[in-house]
Amino acid sequence: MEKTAQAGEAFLDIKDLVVEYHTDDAVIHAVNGVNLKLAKGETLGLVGETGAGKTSIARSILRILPDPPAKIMKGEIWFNGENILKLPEKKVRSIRGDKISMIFQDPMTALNPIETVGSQISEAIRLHNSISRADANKQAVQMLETVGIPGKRFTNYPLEFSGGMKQRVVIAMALACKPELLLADEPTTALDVTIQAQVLEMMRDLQKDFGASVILITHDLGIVAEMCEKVAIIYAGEVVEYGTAEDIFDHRAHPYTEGLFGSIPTIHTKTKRLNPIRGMMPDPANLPSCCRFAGRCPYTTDECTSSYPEMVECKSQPHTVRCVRARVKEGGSQ
Amino acid sequence: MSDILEVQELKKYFRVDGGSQLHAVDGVSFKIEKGQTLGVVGESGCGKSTLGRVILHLIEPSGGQIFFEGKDISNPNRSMINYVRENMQIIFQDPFSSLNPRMSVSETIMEPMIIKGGISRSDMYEKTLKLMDTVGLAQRFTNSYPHELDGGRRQRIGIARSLALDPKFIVCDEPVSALDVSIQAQILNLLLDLQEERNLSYIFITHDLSVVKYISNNILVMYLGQMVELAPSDELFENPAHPYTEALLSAIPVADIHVKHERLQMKGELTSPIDPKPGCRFMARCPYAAEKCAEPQTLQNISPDHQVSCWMKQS
Amino acid sequence: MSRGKKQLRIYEVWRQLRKNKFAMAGMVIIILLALVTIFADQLAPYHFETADFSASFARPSAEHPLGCDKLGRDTLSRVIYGARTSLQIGLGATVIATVVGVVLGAFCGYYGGWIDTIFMRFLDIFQSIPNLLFSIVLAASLGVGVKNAIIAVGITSAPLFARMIRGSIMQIRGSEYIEAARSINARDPRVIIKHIIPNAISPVIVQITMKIGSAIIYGATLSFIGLGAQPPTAEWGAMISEARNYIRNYPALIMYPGAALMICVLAFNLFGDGLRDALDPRLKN
Repeated sequence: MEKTAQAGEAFLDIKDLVVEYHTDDAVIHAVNGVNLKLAKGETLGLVGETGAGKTSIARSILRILPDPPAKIMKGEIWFNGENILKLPEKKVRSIRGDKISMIFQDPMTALNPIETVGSQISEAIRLHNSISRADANKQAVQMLETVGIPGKRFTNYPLEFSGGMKQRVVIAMALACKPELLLADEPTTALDVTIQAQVLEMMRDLQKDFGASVILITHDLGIVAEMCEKVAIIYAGEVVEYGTAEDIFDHRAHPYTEGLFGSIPTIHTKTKRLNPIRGMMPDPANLPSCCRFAGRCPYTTDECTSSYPEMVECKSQPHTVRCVRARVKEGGSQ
Repeated sequence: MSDILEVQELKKYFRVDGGSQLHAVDGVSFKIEKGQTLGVVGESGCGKSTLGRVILHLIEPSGGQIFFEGKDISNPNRSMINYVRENMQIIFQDPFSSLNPRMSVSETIMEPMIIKGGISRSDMYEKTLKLMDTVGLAQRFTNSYPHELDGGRRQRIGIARSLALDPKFIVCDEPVSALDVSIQAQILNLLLDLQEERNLSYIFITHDLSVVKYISNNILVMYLGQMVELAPSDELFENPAHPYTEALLSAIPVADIHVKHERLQMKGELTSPIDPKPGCRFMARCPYAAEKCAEPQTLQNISPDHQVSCWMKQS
Repeated sequence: MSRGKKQLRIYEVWRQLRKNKFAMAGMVIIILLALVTIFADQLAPYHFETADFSASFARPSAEHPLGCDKLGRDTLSRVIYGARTSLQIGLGATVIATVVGVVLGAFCGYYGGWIDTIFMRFLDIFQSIPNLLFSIVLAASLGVGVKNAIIAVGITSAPLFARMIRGSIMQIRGSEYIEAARSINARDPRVIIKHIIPNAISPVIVQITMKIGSAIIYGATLSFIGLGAQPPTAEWGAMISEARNYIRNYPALIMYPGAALMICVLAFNLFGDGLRDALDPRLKN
């Protein structure tokens, strides 16, 4: 897995992305100046809690935010040398499902219940490739077999599949056009552990075969450990910590990341009591102007509540963290 | 130590279309000591939620016996039901659908006391405030409605409601699986604190094995309505005997990049618990399946408190 | 202690409703209609029966702002009194439909089982007869007149209510908070009164509002074919029926009651629509 890390320069580069939801009563600050880079063939995990803005980031890349109420206020998303946010809608449509595709948490919403799964995959292929229906069908059967579904189930309807199988169909559809970037939004959250293991295994194999880059949205640090080379911890619409999986798992620097790890019981270590993060995420309609985590952080100082922390570079590249403590620590050790 | 709950050969069959029987719970037996927690794990559709509800008589059992504090509550009359409802409670999985959207926080928590009666309105109100304090709900939410609160706070309302009559035993049906990790940890700690303070006994139903290890003394693994393994928590994780337990344990993603484990590959997916064949129900997916698996399996001890229903591990 | 909060909820519904311009327009029209109905005697320049043969088919003038019909009766006065009759039929029929429908639907929805099956099959048969045909048959067999028109329209509309109530009660009955209520030993009456009714009430209110509009139409239709309000009673449907004979020479005569009918029904529908959105806090966002 390490070999892909230096494979190339960022082919996806998100710069200062700001997304807001404008409702009758309030402005919800969902994404607040997110910067992320992704190299070819790399898997990036976006980790955070409900409402942290993970899904909004992914949807911005595909430009499928519900507008209204969502608005991209600011930012650039460079993909293969083009700023997606500036492209005409027609161009974006040709990228969607072809170069970039997305897997949603609930497989049922992504499948049309009154069409056979085969024809849905075949249609996805034909949408972006000028090939005959027969050829597209042949490719669709291949795709089904790739994700471990017998080709003879081509003519089955989504209803005839179990949850895990449906998610495989969704993945087959997402991979049908051999996308360069795959956005997977909690792809296994709705599945049982044993099925989750199978699906993750399959995704990993497929990624190896197709060489796609993946953004994996999840709240499960276990999945991150298994799947991701890079990890971004998202809190209140910001990246609070970014680094390689090793940085995050072994040298985590942000108190929120620490809190996340303290919150999960593990089966390999004996814990008497968990160390949860106290309190809750601030209301995204009413964010503090200082550090967003200051209200829940065990190390809060006056500086945390009076100024807004910038991203600090840590010792090892590309590890960065949005916390004043890291600056002090790193400064001292350099 | 004394057992607070004992269940013997508990069964719940549902009739489904065409005269078939769905074996949701099929011959489950266990004991829970006072102040302890039994974790029940399994995948969706294994009957773990039905098990909890049958014990509480929210669903009537089809067969078997339930003893609570030594009393047989298998066929309760009205006064026995009152006793069951006062002493045995449930916390639900979904903090959104398990609260009446038209009742305020205090009304919800107070309701069990109103139904039971016997104390004055002002005493009830005082107790409600105390309960809110116990579960960590600020008093300013007294008159809030569920939809105004987040999942963690709603789950605290559900917990306070279940504590209102000071029960001795609580079925926790996936109480944290709908919550975010940081909130999950808060609720788990709360449940453990309450257990210590009140000497509560729990059945903790979940599909999350790391959570169940953290909270349980003993763990019961269910597959398609049957119990396949029952063992003390540590023992189960160190020496899983049943192939299904083994597969389940190896499927958990571990939040540690240095742990690399071999997966025990299972074939296929959960089959149906409708009119099952007599043999081992896991056979179709089991990597070790052999001829003898088609014969009925019985639960046997492989060590004093470790039971498994797989002939390969017995003898 | 929760009274203040309950008032707050009503205020919240009102706040939501106020944002919806169409619903507000509907509500204003309904209030105006109600006032017109109540103060018809004071507002109408003439009594609806007052005939002045010298003014037969009179054009609009200061004396008769909307002109007169064949018998020289003042059209404006008849439209005003017509509102009273039409609303009477609409409201009366809806009350009957609600009472019958809610009792039946609630019973079937809560207890289910074979009682439910029998009632629902019965309603199926009932509903397979076109509504209008059914009310015509009922009105004809009960005898003509406003009172019987109310009963006919009410009974015809009841099955729809029963079905809707049954549906929402079955859905509520299956929800986890009902199971939670049972787990704390709540018996049937308490479950129904405290948990089911408060949650089932909003769709009923919305449905009632919408139903008034269609009941007015059915009432007008019955009168139009001569089974509802009888001459000389002023009723929009009956007025349209009478004016039909002179449509070539005096088309305005058919327009006034027609427009009144349309505006009235539209108002109830708009208001009902807005109410539905405002009453359900979960529909927002």
